[in-house]
Amino acid sequence: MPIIEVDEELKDILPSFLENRKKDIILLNEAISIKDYSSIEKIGHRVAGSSGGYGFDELGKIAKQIELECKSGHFENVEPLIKRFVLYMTDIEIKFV
Amino acid sequence: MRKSKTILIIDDDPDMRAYLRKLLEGMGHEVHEAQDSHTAEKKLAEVFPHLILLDINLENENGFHFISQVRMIDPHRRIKIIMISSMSSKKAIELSQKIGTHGYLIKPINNNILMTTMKKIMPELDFPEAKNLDISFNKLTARCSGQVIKISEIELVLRSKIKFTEKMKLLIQSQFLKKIDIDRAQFIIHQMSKDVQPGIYDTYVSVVGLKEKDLKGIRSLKTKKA
Repeated sequence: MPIIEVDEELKDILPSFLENRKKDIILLNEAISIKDYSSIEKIGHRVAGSSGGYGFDELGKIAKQIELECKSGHFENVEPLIKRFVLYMTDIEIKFV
Repeated sequence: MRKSKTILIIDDDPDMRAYLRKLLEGMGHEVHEAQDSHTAEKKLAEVFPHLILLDINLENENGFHFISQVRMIDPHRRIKIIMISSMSSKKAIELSQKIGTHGYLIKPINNNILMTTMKKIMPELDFPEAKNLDISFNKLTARCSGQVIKISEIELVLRSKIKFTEKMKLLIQSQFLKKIDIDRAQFIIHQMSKDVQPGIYDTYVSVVGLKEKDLKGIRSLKTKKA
């Protein structure tokens, strides 16, 4: 299980960040089921922008990849990336530093 | 130079706003947020920030468009603007420079990047002070937000971010004063502002020109005993 090191200063805003990622997982699954790549691209863009600051660099990279694959029309690559997104969020341990 | 600055974050991502707020408040700044240009415009009517952190890719709108609205409110460009984006293209950065913004931060933004950026821009964030105004400026007007925290038949106390050092006439636009029917009175500062906390002042204002029947509104206010 990967350990994510999060700045102690962000302790009180982290629950909201994690809660929003849970909502994103629901939205991503809904969107992929109807092939709504525009919504998936937006979620990817948003998550890519904020994740790094919170210490979730790997999640940011996956989200950026989702955004780019949607943008370039390589839709066949999107679903495996969403699975990586979901797996990442369900298999992490938070350590405040 | 005052260390604490007022900063407005405009970003459609609540996690990004929360993150920037946390770091900037940690540096001692006063932070306001808006998720779109409409909310930001309303915020600008309430606060006059030293700095705006503006996301380029707002939901369904381009952050660059909002800059012209800021310039209408602030034609002398006292408000500094730093663009935030995940676009690292030369084109976007050049456009940002051409428009006259004061910096460009590429997402993801970390603590060190933000701290370095703030340190660099801090000397530019002070507003010029108005001192020894010439007689030709005797009709100069300024607008600020405030709160009426105490009121009696003869006086009210205005809490605001402005330190008044002279006796002058105030024009107060207030729903509360309108409701109790004394908005027609004249309001004249009779005592220099007192510090309440850093950057917040209480100003004692005489309420002049009300007739006996106009005072009913004030007298009808319920008072709470401590």
